[in-house]
Amino acid sequence: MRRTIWRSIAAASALSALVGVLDAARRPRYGGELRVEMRATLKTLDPAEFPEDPAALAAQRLWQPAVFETLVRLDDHGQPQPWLATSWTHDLARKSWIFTPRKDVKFQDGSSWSPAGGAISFPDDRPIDQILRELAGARNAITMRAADGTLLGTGPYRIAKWDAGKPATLVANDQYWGGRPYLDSITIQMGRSLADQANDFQVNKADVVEIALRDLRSAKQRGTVTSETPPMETLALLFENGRVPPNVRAALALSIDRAAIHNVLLQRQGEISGALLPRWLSGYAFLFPAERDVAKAKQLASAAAALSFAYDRDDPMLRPIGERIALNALEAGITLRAGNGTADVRLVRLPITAGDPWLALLDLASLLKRAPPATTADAYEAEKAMLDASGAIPLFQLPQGWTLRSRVHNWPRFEDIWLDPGAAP
Amino acid sequence: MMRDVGRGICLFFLCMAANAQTLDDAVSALAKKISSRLAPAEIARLTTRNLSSLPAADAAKIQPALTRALQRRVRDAKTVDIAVTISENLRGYLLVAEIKREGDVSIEMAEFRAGAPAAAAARPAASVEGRLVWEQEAPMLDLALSGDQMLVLDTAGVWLYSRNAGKWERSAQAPISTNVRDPRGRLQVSGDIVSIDVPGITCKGPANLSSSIHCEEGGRFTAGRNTLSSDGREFFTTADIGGDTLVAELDGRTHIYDAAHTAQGVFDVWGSDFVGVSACGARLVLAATDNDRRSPDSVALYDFSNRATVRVSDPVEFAGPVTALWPAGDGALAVVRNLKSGKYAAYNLALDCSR
Amino acid sequence: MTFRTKLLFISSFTVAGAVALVTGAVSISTRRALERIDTTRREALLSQFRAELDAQSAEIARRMDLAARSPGVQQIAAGEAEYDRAESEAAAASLDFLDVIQPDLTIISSAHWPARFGYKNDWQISPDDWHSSDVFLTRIPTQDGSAPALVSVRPVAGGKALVVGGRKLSPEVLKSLGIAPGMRALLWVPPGEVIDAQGRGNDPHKLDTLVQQVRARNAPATGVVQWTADRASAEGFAAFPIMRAGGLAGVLLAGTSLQEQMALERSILWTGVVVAGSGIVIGFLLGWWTTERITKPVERLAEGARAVAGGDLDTRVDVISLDEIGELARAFNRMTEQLLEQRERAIQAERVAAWRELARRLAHELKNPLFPLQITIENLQRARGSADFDEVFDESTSTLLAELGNLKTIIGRFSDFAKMPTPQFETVDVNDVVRSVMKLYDARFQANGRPKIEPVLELAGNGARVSADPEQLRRAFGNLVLNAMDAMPEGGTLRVRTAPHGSGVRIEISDSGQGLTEEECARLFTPYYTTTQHGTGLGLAIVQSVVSDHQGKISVVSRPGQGATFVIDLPGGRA
Repeated sequence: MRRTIWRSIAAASALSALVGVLDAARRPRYGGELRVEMRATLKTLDPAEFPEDPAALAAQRLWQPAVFETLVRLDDHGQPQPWLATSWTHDLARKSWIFTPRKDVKFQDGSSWSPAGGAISFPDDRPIDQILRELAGARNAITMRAADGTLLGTGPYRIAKWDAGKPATLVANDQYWGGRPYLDSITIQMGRSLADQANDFQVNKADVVEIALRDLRSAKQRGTVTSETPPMETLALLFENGRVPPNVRAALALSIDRAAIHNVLLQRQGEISGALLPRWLSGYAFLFPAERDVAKAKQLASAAAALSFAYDRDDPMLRPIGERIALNALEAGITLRAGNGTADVRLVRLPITAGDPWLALLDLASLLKRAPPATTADAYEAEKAMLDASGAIPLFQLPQGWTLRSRVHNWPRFEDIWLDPGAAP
Repeated sequence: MMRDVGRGICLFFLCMAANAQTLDDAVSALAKKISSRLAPAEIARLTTRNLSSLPAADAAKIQPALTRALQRRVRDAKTVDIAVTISENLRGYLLVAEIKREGDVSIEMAEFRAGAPAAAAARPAASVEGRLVWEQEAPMLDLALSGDQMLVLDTAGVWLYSRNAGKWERSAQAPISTNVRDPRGRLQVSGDIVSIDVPGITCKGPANLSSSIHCEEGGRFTAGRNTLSSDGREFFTTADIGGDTLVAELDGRTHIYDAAHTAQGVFDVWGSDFVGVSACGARLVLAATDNDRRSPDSVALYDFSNRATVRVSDPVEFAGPVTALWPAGDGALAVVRNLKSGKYAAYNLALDCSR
Repeated sequence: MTFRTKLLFISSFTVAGAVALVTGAVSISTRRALERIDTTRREALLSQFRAELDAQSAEIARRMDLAARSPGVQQIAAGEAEYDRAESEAAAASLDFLDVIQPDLTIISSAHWPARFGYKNDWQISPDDWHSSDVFLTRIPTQDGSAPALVSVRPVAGGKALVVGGRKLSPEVLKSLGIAPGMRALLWVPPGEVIDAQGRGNDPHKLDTLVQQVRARNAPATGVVQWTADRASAEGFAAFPIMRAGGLAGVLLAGTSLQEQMALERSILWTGVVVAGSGIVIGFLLGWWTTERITKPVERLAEGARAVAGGDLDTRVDVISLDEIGELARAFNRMTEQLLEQRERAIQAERVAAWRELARRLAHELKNPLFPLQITIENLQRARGSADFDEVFDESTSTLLAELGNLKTIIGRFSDFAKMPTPQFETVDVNDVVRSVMKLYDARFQANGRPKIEPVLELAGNGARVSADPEQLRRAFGNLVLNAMDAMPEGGTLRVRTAPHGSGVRIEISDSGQGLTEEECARLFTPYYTTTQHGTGLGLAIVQSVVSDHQGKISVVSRPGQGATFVIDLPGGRA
């Protein structure tokens, strides 16, 4: 079911802008301001910038398409679809790929996007599928630097205000080639804790807020409108320095009782996994072991020194999981001492930033500070190599959830979001 | 522009075809890969499991097919355990073989896409019959049938089709650019003249598109919006029902006004599209359901005689949201976006008062 | 050490000792008084502490009763609540700890450590606790280690589950005691944690000895703990045991800082030191003044005595005092006066003796020639008129002349002694002088008709130069050679030896004669004293005079029968 939803989201986002999608029986209403809150603090939406913080990266990848667009986009099947490029073909020598730019595309300052020569040529003899996947990556968004230094895109919204630590504002791009978005503006409050977001939602200061996974079910039961993605982040243990020997890393991986955490702490949300990429994306996640074997862990961890263990203690999901992992590890004879700053082991949420295994692995490689996977590499081999090299221990793949005010339609397809004035607040 | 898009889509499908093998192709490919991993003296011992949504019947075919493909006669054979998992990802299904030898596991995979089940044909209810008139890829806004000719308005413009040997063939085109999110358009043929309204533009010309049509700013639709405009007011739909006027307003609700334009009530049952029909001796409305566009819609006939919405027909279920609903003859024309195929289909909705 | 110093020491230390004694006594009595006060204060605090713990326990028992009846806990026990529901239930019941557990101690929900669901509760709960509503002290494992807490157990869901909970024994509990300044209440919990309201980071192991005492006796104990090397960190404690199931669950400690006591003692000590120091200074000044008055006359007496010892018999001690010292001074003065009189009398006696000796010598010397003169004259008188008168006359006149010559010689010798000239100094090689003298007498050593004397010279190899009058030296050496020859009437060995002596020269002239008695040695250099029957007794006196004029020293070493050696030490330079 989640998969179906995701597919429909992706399909809609992929196809909607081809010419402008006709909406449903209830017609969207133009206008209004959408107020969104999130935990992450994102300094910039600039596609050239890569946030080191996983949460910021997830936020960047979520919001970038609202402002910046790529030549192609991936559809619900992970297949590249025409976007700013309407078609492509290779030259006679099969050494270059030539992309035809979409007409009537304008940057957010009104200037036309017109590549020199009326076409975009890539001297690249790789198979087109690889090139298209690469072009669909957020890093390859089409941008332009205005005279005043402002970074402009071609997307449905333009950045009106984006200062670090302050609410960001996106306003509708009236000249968007796919038709002006319904909303007049989107205000994004960053760096809000889940508790603050829940409060703001309660007092009608926000239209869309993030929701803890464990609260998702109860929110649905209460009749609150929620939105949920398929697993879009991987909970993993990372080894930040080279201090932890491989046998202790293996012991730690074997010591963790993922089933108990999944059943109790995560309320069976998401999936147990030993892989970086979720199964819906890769299909082979089950190949990476995630079973517990305390006896073997004890053998491997004999005489292991205490490890410093860090995680975001303000994160209501990470905290109990981190505590449980420390308890599990202790059973195998590994002491995890809570610490801050650089730690031997860190529990993190790694975002799955794209609907394509290679693009998702590309961002994960940057987060894990590993070499990017080759475009020609088999995704399984690339993921396995990245896991072997980083020593990371993936634990779970978790969906992302939001609570929406009932008047909000089409979240999170930014260009299609509209606010229903007749809906209850 | 359409040509470009078409080429892009063609390439896309070619691309998909490369990955989208059939189940049989995938089994064959996987068997080949596994064979290349097996030494001459090794034979495979297969086990399979299904972690995907592939129907059990299809899944059950895989092990025998693979076993057959891997069958070989070897003396003093050494058995290699191969665990085959049927999995899936967003691109389709995945056959994953884990070839297990002592202390070593090698992996082989093959992808395939199951044959998409045929889209369920929309079967109109007894009182309202929906008949498929036309289906196309591009977002369709309106359609008008006139004998052997058919005018189709979509986001690129107006297309004239002529029936030839039972098939519709495109014969002329008049481009009209519609750069609006949730675009709408209205096509009305009056004699030999066709008038076209799209957001911010109104056009008029010969119905056979023999000469260019004349367009100018203005018209019924608000420029850059998905609403209709009248007297400075914006709304989605309006219908006159026996002296009352029903207006789907921007608050998402349907407002009732009497002949003196005095508000008489408001209700929240229908979507933004409805058509008033005078049939069966009552004040009837054909209205689409109030869903969002991720869900299939239905259209039903409502009796509004007492300013109350009483459904008087079974709903006509469609395979996607109704994106347009315009009066057509005694009934209506509904444009539906098929959620599975992504295509837009126009249905003629005819009323049958006898039921 | 002088008498004055001794007196000064005695007086100073007497004052200091007295002050130290007083200071010590005050200090000890003050300490004892303070200790009595502290003990009372500690016991009062301990009672207050125990009462507070009892009140806390009663409150925890009440809250646990409420918690056990709460619907939330019932839901947890029935498995119908989320894993961390105990957290909100604990908050609602104002409890720090709340675990809902199965009878096998498996945690269903834990308030303070939600992640521990499924693990065993390890609060050291025994089956006895299930049926008791008592509150007991235990140590609860936490994520940061462990924490002491007062907890209690209640059955829930008809005994299908248990709820265990309580409150942390935090420093805030101790703060509520309203402790007086300088005091504090501590709770020691095994294995060695100390809860302190003031949060001082003392080493809990310092309390081990006291805790061991309490554990060993299962009874209260007292003791002093010095936390750091600084004595001021010392703290007096009264300890009270908290027992559970026969074991020591904790120890209540009421402590009073000994800092004030130490400060007071230090103050007393410093006051004592200052007073003692002042006493020493005053004692010194007083002693100095006293001893000055006492020892000044004594010193004068000592100086007078030293002067008298140096031969100054005119010395008088000027002491005007009526005490014993004055009497002593007067006795001293009388003694010196008597000594002076005795010396003058001795000089006069010696002078008379010398004159007598001179008269005897003169009489003796003159009597020897006079007797032949008298005989010769009487022979002449008797021969007058006889035939052989002429012969007798000639013979007699010859004798007369000879004897008159002797008289003249005697008189000349006396005259010479009286006319000893002032020496004319020049650099002289003593060896040359010795050789010339020996050469002068060489013929006489070998003279026929008399026993042979063998001269032996042992002269310093590198010369023996001194500043001297060579003629006087020859005369002195000649006298000594003659003296030696006289001492050896039977012949013998005359040994003359020169050798460096300090910066000067030592000359030894030895004979192998019959030697001298001690008395003779003592009087040898007295003028006109001689051991020979024919000497004038001036020879050695002349020698002594010459040696004395050269700032030298002469002595004689002799024993009867073993010869005598005259030793002359002449200084190297002109005095």
